[in-house]
Amino acid sequence: MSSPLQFYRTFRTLMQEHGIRHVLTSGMACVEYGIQQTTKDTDWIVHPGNLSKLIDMLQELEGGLTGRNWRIAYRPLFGAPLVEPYLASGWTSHLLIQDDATSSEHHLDFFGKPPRLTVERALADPEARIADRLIVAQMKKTDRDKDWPAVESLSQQAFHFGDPEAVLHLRDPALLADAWKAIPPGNRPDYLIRRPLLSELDDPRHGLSRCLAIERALWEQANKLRYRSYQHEWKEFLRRWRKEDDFAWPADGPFTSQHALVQEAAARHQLPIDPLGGEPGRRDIVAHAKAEVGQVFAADATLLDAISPPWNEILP
Amino acid sequence: MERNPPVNPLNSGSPCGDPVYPESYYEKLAALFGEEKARWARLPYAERMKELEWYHANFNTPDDLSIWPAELDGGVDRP
Repeated sequence: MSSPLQFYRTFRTLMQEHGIRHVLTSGMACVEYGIQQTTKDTDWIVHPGNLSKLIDMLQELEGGLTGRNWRIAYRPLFGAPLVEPYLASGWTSHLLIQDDATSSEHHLDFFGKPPRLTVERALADPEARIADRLIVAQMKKTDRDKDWPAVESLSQQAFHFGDPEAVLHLRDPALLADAWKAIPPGNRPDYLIRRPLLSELDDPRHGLSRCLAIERALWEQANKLRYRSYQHEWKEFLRRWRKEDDFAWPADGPFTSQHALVQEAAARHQLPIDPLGGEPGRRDIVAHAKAEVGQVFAADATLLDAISPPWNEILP
Repeated sequence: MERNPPVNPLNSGSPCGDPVYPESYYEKLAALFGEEKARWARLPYAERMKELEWYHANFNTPDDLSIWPAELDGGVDRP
């Protein structure tokens, strides 16, 4: 029986051997960076163009005679089929694997285009096997309180390594000020575009603490609106699928047949590829998040504009 | 700014190099996560993983109950 840590290392090696461009991210990446999370699950960013290789690998591992005889299945709430169009548009696919009969289920979530990041940024380093600290920090800007200490600690680690981009994520006022001082003046305009509240460090007008609170609320609200779109579409899709006379999900059977089943169901019941609706939809979500946060903080449009990262930083 | 923190001499197998951060980092970590997690973070990589294996073997952790990934929906705290 493999432990969660043993299993994840085995799986990482297998993906490497199969030439699948990937990085480990989220909770288990935090574990590797010395920020303890109790997670047993693993989250992977896989290049959308390599998903067919991943499917081939899973089918190979499932084989009883030629493979490892693993049990591989989509989880009941499977997200979207593990194929390029869906994952390149921000969906995730949720699988479980048992690597021997006595093993507990290992849960794996696959991202193609992770939230708040482009694929190019997430997989920029072809040698990396673990997402860099600031990629994980960016993914952790969710609306869950427990993720924000990880954002801060990962940013602090990056700061201690001298990564200038830490200034886009740090929230500790003293460290943020130190990081900002270390940015050469000529480079500052680019950072100010990406994180406007940095201007508070040069010209305090609104109060840094207040600006940091509003900025976090913007990330949180944008994340809520983002995942609600996916959640809504998935639930509607499942309702449509359930109306079929012979509806049967979760399904038994090998992964190969499950993979075909969920792809056919997604096509038949029109699980939308991009629930956010491209750039206009993303801009709209950020605008709505700003309006809602403005109400909560009694912040006018000028203040919100002075704090809010651009839409393509929040939902690229 | 301190750059490239030194690597823990007891490192064994960390894919991240097992750097040792300035004391101020661990103090801030304790403020964010608590003293126990800061103690764990100070351990060499192999010891950290050994402790974590023990936790995994003896406790059901919250993510076991999470159906959707955190980035999409959340864990047990979000029905």
